Amino acid sequence: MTQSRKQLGKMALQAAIGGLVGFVSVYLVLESSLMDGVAREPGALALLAVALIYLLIGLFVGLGSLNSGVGAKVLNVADAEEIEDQRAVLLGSAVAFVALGGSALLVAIAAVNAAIPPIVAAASLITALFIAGAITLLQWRRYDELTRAVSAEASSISVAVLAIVLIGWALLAEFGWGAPLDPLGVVALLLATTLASTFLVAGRRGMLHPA
Amino acid sequence: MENRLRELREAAGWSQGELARRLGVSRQTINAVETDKYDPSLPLALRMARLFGCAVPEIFIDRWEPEN
Repeated sequence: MTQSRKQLGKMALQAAIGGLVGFVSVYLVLESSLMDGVAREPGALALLAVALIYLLIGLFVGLGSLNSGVGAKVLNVADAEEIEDQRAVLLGSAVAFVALGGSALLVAIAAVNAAIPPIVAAASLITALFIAGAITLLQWRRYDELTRAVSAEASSISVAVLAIVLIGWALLAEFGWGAPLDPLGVVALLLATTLASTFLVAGRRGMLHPA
Repeated sequence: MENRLRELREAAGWSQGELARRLGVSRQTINAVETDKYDPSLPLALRMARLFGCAVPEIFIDRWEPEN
């Protein structure tokens, strides 16, 4: 089998597993009685979608980095040895993603269901933000120069996109031309923009190309 | 920036991962440099040159010419 066919096969396997797990997760969450009424809350619905993406990425990366044999199949790495080399960074990212995704999910549920007290949901998201920030600071020295460049470039793009969208939205709302800012919509937008910017920059740098 | 990193690495018989380990960077950094998607920092370019026993301009090809 040629190298490119192997790469294509691996990419197809990753897409299939990701798609299947994503579909099942979304289905189970939306069918859950915890999420009754989420469709009437666009901000909560958007946050729910973003939270699931974070959670699934975190779980995939976490499980893949703990089991290098499985990780070599489902993550974009050349081999199990690469996972062992990068394990600390991958695990740190996984913890940050799970913390952010899990807490954002709690916030989305708390918005539509009294089962989760708002104070618990809010405290969990604030804690997750601190955890993610602390992990980034602690791991910065472990990042190599490409990772640092991608991180800086993605942050710049995020700020630019968020400035345009949030200022535009605020102006429209202020002058009565659009819907008022939705608090959970803003949270979802921040998390989604950060993630999308990182993927965009990583793609431009060839980091999403199958290994 | 065009470069001869892949050619030099393959001549040495190293995988991207092996070269990455020798240089203390990730395999993705090597891949990004080889595919012209990332220009390495000066310290990394110097380490590459030292590792392959050549000068930086022998790895990285800059076609810029000064105007007269």
